[in-house]
Amino acid sequence: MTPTLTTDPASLALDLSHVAKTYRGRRGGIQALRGITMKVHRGEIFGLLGPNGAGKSTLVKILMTVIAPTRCEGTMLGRPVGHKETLGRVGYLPEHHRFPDYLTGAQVLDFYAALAKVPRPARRKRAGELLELVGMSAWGTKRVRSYSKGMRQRVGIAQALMNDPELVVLDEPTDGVDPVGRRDIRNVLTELKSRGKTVFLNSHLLSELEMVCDRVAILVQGVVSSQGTIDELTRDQQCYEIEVENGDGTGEAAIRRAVPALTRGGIAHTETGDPIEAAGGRVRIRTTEARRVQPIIDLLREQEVVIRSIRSARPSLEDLFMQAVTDPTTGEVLAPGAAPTIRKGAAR
Amino acid sequence: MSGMAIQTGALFLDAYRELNARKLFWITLAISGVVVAAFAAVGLSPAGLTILWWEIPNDWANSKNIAPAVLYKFAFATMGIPIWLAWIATILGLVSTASIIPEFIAGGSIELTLSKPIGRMRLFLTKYVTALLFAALQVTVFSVAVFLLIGIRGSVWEPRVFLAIPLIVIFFSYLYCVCALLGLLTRSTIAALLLTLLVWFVFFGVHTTEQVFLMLRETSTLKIGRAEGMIEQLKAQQTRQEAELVAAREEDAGSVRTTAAVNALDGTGQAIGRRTQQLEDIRGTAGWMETTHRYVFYVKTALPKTAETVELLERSLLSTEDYDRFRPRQEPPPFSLTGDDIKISQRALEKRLIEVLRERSVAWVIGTSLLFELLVVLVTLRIFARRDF
Repeated sequence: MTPTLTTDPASLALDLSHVAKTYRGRRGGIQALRGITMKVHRGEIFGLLGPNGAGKSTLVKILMTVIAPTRCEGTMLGRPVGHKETLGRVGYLPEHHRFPDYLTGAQVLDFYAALAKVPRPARRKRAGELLELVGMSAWGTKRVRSYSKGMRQRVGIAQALMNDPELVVLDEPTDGVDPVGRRDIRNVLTELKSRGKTVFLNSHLLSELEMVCDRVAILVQGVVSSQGTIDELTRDQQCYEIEVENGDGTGEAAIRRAVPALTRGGIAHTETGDPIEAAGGRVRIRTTEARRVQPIIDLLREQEVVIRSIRSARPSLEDLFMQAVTDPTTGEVLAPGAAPTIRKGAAR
Repeated sequence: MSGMAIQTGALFLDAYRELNARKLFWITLAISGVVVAAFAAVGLSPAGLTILWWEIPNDWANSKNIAPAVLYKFAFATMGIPIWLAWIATILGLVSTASIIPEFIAGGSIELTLSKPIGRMRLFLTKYVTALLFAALQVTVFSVAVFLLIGIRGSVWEPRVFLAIPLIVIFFSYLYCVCALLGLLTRSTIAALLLTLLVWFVFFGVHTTEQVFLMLRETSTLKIGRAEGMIEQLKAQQTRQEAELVAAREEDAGSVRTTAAVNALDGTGQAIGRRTQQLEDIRGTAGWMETTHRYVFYVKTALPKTAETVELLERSLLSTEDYDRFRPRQEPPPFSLTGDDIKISQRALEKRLIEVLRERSVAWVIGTSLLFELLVVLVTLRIFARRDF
């Protein structure tokens, strides 16, 4: 269930505005982030998605003080971003993480939890519990160098939870994990949410995000192109889809006879004003109200069109993602990477 | 336990685990044991040197001339420390620790550490100190073994051998600060190691250059003293010969005695002229040596004094008299008023050099070296604190 959202600062795990990062170079700079504004509420699972080089990892690294922002206003767990002590309340799994290979899984958990100032008795207790949770109990005493990628990922997630964090930031947590492991990780995330923890998830796997995230933000070339719940993002694009029998295009022709507006070109509308389109034996009426679809069904039936199915449809996260990374003017997918280089001396 | 103590304890425990995982750490420790065992195998008997159960007769190196404890202290201070710990073990130590910073800042590893509630400065400094643990552990084990060796074999319990621990750690830290900076800049273990060895070679080169010019300067000083002494003696001889000539002329101006006195006086006059010219030449060279040495000395002051730091232990353990016991008896060169060269005693030169080196204060040797290290560490810290990973 999506948590109740308010704008009360205390209810926000992350409240970011104007986060910018320009990597300076000899020949100018690369604008990795160009003023990110983002709110993540406590107790929700928030997904950050975007194409390669969009700035997702840069944003996460700024939050975790691995990278210094060029500009950053905002708070994490109520304290300014960059406040070191706050990191004791945050769990983090970086992408492509690398643990010291001379340590065992249990020692990895103990070491990083100690750096997060977790007292020894709590570390010992939690290490056992978390290894159990991620299915690595039998491997806790084995050295990390003997682990597969998926096993390292599981230990990495356990590591991120050792300090019982209020906010868990996971960068590609399912990278290299098999389907069973992914399901396990999803269950862990759901469990965390049920305990009131906030999860900030950065992933390429849109289907994974769609399954667990309450809200998402899509980052493209260093800016947030859209953010909200998946319902909010797709509200304008929810529709009813009527599939008809279309032998040799007869169904299609019948549709156009039933709804003459479809033959006039441009954007067609129903009599109630809802956008309507037809293609490949399918009629899509953009509305969330079933009663507004009934007149169209009647018109189709009057033309003796055989209706196979009627379903409420909405775009998938992948559709949203593709829309976000497509240039609306050219219709072409934007090139991956950060924003174009700014030259030295150029006006900013 | 406070949060800071928990973090520091974890970093030290991790450093121990990291060292423990490096085979080279244990190999170095094992070689240290072999070195001490080799020292223990050597002993002194009234007849000469003993190696295990063999005896090598020697008139000079025997227990009648040298106390066994002095032998072991000498071996420890002049071989065990400068050759084993300050060269071979240090190179092995650098090989073992050069990877600490590059691995620490490697992608995927540094993010995990920096994302914890610990400041970058403290994190880096703790990591830096833990790297010095390598040197500390090695030299502690070696010193304890040598302490026991001198005590058991020489019947003298010499706590000053433990001075090796801080001195070698300080010595190692001069090199490690450079290694850490280079590791941070290059992110490469091999590059950091090779460049550190190159920098060490530069330190050594500057030290050797300074020592050579110091030796030349002191040689000139001794030669000047010797030449002045010769001239004074020649002048005294000239005075005597003039008196002899006056006496001979009074007796018979055309006698053989008078002719001989005139010839002798001429010879002495020529010798004085030659020696005076030599003195002027040496003074000219000495001035140039002095100036060059001064500039090299300034350069050396700004750099870590690796060799002299290690020699501080020798200074502490061995007196000049102890040192003399291990010097072959050497007479001064034959004094000749008429020979062409102005010879000086090699032994006198060595003694003078030791005196000059021992006049250099501990504050100068260690203080200026630590200033260099502080500067390098501050630069490294600044880069580490500001870098995006």
